[in-house]
Amino acid sequence: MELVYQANERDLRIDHLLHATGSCGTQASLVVGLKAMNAHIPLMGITVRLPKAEQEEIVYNLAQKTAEKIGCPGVVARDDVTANSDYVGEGYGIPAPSTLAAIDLFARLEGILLDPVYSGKCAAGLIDLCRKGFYEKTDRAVFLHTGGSTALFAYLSSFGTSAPR
Amino acid sequence: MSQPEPQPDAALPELAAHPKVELWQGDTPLEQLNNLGPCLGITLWAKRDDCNGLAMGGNKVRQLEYYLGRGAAEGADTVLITGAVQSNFVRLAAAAARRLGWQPEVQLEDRVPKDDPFYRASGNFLLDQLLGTRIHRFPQGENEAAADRNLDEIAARLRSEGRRPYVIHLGLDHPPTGGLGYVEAACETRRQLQRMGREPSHVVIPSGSGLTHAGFLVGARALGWRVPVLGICVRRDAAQQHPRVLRRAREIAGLLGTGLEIAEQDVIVDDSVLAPGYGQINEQTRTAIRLAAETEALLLDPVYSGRCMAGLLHFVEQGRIPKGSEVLFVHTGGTPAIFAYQSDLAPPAIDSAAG
Repeated sequence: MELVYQANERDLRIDHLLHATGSCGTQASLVVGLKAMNAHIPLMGITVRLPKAEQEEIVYNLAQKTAEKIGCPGVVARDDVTANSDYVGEGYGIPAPSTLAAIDLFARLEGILLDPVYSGKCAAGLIDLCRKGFYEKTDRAVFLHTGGSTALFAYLSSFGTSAPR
Repeated sequence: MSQPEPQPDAALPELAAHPKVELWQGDTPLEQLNNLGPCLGITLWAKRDDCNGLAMGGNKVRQLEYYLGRGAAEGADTVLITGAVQSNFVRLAAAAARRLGWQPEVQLEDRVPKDDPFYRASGNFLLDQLLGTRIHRFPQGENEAAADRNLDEIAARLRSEGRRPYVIHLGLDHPPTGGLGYVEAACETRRQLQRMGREPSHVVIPSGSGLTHAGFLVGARALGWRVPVLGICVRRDAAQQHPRVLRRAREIAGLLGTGLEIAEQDVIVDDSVLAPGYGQINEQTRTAIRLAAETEALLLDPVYSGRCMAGLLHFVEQGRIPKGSEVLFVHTGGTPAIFAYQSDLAPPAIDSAAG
């Protein structure tokens, strides 16, 4: 809802919304919110753990229950739930080369710090989908930064940092 | 980046005379600490300047808005700054440079005698590297003049390569431009307090370079807000810090141009919790960090905000802040440094504790 309000305030049309999805709770509640507000914003969850089909199933079921709870039963259709598991790499918590490259790109172009477990994988998806031409040049995509940046320090050795002498 | 023009604070229109870039939109939260306050017998508020959104946040974001505003006006394409290996200012200057599409260049000084691998590779240093910062080493720790001279040499080299660096020096012979950010912070804080009808009896704030402390003091006095602003020394002892903050405060008042006078007794600094020195943790700071985390989930760092909270605890213990007072703690951030000091803070790791 907050995102939709902010977009409306700025008169911003959002063509795509992306975020990292792990436990499915964030994606399920987002999709319910967007559908309940009739926001017409397609949501894609970049999975950080599960394969696409498994993730979509869990999110869809959770979304049904969430929709009932807020009094909008049936507001989410099966094809409203889209997950993409192309950027998991070797598995949960293991940064892929594309994850590290995405973290690097966001830091150097925008000064935005991502993390190697969630937001970094999502950003890797965003970057690859752009390069593959999944989005139109004029499309407006929103990257939902889910935080997690404290994990950067736990992955110190992944960044090949050379300590100052 | 298309963003609205930054607006000056309505309470002090004089700020508008100074160029500014916007690195963060909106006010930082002002929160009541409902567990820690009663535990100390006071009403306690925290101004959460650790929560502004740029690259893990901190007080330097406000200072950089004015420094880089000047840099942008001069047509800079590079930021060049000096600081300690774990400098928050350096990390945020690099992040701000990236936001603006500039190149970050930094000089890191060996200011803290610490050979710990986390200190030398994690925390702010890791983030500097992620931000793709070019790092120049400067081996002399406590020699501000020499560090600034070396910085000028690097700047000359960059200019000869066709770059246009904006240089942020630390020495007193350079203008305290960033202090304007804390003049503005004082306005913002005052406005938030007035909205809630609150009138703290003390403000407690870290005092290092002196610009945050001096800027807040000048902002408060310019508004006619007479609250005592207690600066907790984090780097120099009180005898050195007092004249530094006084000088900076008078210079900042001069920049504002309102003819405001800052009296000697308006500058309050205390070094009771400074030993053994800058960037070296002590028992009081460790206690303060634990207490804030356990009572409020408020994360403090070992160099600035943790030491500042240690100073606050000391003032309460000594009765210099009497029981029943209403106190405002300015949280200046520094959170990434927690990870650089993990050997000083952490209990044994999970697996070794089990064994």
